[in-house]
Amino acid sequence: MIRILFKQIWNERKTNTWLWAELLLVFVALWVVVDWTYVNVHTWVQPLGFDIEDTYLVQISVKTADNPTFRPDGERMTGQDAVDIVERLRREPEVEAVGYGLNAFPYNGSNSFSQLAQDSVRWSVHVRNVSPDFFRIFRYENIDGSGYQSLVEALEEDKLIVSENLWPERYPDGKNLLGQGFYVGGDTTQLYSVAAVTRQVRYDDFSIGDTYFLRLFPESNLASLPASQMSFIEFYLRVKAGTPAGYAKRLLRESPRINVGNCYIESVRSFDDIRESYMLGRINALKNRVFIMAFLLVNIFLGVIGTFWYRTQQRRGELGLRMALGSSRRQLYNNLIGEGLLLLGLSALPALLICFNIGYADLVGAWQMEWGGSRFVIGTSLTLLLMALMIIGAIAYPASQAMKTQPADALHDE
Amino acid sequence: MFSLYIKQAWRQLGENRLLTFISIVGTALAIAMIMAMVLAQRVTVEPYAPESNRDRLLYVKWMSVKFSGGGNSNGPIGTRTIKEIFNQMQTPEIVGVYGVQTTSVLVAVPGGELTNVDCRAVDDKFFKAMDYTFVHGAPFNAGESEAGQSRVVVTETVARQLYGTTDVVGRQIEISLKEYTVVGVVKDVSKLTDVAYAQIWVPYNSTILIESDWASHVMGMFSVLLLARDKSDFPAIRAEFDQLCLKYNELLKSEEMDVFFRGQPDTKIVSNNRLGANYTPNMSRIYWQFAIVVALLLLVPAINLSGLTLSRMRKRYPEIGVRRAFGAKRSEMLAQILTESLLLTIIGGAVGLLLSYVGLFTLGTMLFGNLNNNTLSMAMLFDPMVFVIAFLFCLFLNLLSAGVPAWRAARLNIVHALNA
Repeated sequence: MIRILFKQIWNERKTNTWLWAELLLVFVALWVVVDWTYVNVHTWVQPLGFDIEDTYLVQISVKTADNPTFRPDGERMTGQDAVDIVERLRREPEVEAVGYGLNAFPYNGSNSFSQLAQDSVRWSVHVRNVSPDFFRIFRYENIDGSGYQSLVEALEEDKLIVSENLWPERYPDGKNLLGQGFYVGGDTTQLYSVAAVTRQVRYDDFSIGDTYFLRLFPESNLASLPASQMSFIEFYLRVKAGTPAGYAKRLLRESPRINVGNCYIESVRSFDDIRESYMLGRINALKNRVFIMAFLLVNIFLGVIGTFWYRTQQRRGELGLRMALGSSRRQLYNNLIGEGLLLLGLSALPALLICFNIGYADLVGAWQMEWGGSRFVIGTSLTLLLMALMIIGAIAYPASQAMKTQPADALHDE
Repeated sequence: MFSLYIKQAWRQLGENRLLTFISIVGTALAIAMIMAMVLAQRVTVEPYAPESNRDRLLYVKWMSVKFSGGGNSNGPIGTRTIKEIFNQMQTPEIVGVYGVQTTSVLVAVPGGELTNVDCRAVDDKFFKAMDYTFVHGAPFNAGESEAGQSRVVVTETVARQLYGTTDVVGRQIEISLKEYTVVGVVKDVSKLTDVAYAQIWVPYNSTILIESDWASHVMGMFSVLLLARDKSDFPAIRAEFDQLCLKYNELLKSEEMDVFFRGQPDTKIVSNNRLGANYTPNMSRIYWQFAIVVALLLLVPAINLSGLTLSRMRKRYPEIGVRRAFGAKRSEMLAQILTESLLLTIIGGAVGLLLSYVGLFTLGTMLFGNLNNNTLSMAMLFDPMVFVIAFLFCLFLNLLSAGVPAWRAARLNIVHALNA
């Protein structure tokens, strides 16, 4: 059977070469897109490790010095006004928790890094200085399964809360990290001990879990900040579940009642908005790839249907003869489909070699997943499946047309 | 003669409907994809209001400082650097300064509701480098800008939202708890012109940004535009810029700092790809990537169409044989076949261009990476250049797809052809 198919393909080698070349090219191009998409979608569906539903970013600004109600820093620092605003926000009926921090919120373009050291090993990781309520707002999860409440309680001065993937070589899966001591930022006089370990938190929907530690941002530190340093501090809040949408607008309207001294609420944005604008470029990149994937598939469809349409027309005589000699219509149909798939197989062999090398050289640009056997198998299987479906779809129509031929007609033409 | 070819080709179209359909759809899809890419690219690079001077502008978004003690700092530009380098420049026609990004600020009219709008802090020269359409009033002047007086330019939409009308010059508005006077009202600005975009513009000297410098005022919160009198002045501007940098670094030596700009000033296309302050875009890599994708979008359908054209040609071998036997030259046959297939390509190309417009209007947000306010300018899309580019791609695609079959058919042995 397969020998006959080979023979057929060989006999039609002139048109088949075109098709074979196209399938080869498309296979490689499609595989690159499929592999990238697979890695990104696979990353996308993993748990984020935080929760932004019902959360808002509140920007607190400081009045300019020429404002008549501006109070120069002295006895009372501008930071104290911010502390008071946080207190007032906490008393708002719809608010569940209010926190503040430094380069800590999700979908944040700005980062702080700091050095961690243990024994003689040093390396740099994200550092997030936050108030304890940070965990009540973004709901990081404790690795021991106790949720976020235990993290709120664990965040104390001279303590660290770290991610489970902080140092996988020494502490695989974050085991035994609890209670370990680390030096922070090159200072070897004070040892910080790990008070809790969180489940992985991803930087954004397309990133894998990043490595970080969290440290307490004490309220007394905030209270002692001068006006000039306030713009670096970020404030966030979570409203109670079921609070109607549009809280940002309502809070802004109420803000004159909440503002204190030098500080005022400048803007309020929901984290859904922040996420949307942060992710836009990445999501567009994904959509563009899906477009190119669709384009390649449609082209396979067109190329295959065109070639096979012409071929079945030309081979009417042969098909009629076969039917006359007892071949069933089903067999003829299968033969044609088999030819298409065999051609796919023939182009897939060199394509696989090329794809493997592209993946091995890391040219796909999907950095979230290590290159390896399983990724190759999944990517190529998906590509093969997609292409096979297109080929079967494209041959089905000309093949069914050919099957309807009456043997007598076909032979008569001959 | 060509009209004869076209006539013949037109007849051929009806002959095999399926193949014709496939050819046109294949061409249309390829042209649509390519033109959508080209258009999306042009929207970010070509000049149109209010960024009418994109081709004469050089951009300095960010800067970097190297500290002798170790470590780098990367970010927007500080007031001292602006004074020592940019204000000294003579070659550019205009040097405009603007806040590195728009910020969401609190605005209210006296007694009105509080809302947030996107505000850009700029100087008076920024308006000269741009091309805003003023519906009422004018931008704030040099004196007002320098003194940081509370003057503001707003868009029509903001004016309407706050006052219910657009003729609001002279009216008061509270921005970040500070009283401002409206001096001008401009037409709304699309987010596609990302430097021009904002909803209100205030003198940067009136904002808190001038108090946000760091690294001894070397770094801060600003970016700079350099408008050349002519594109050909770019090298002179760069030379002057480098010279001033050297002088500035002499000055900073005693403070153990060394500033550098990672290849800036940038043209618009480079600036678009400069995504971070600590990074220099690899433009040749970006151009290559674009070229590879375009080549792929051309090559795959071309192979496809080649197969189809070849099939169609085979049926016509006897005809070709007869024509050759009666003295038609090979070059004539080649010209005929290419012209015939060009007809198909042009039909497909027209459909494709149409498709790409439909795509841009319906999927605009998707292609342009902006949330809203993506008004596409008609002049931009229906620029004659777009049609020229589309036609060139059609010609190229036609050559790719019909070249080989035409070559083969033209070189056919007459006897074989007659026998076929």
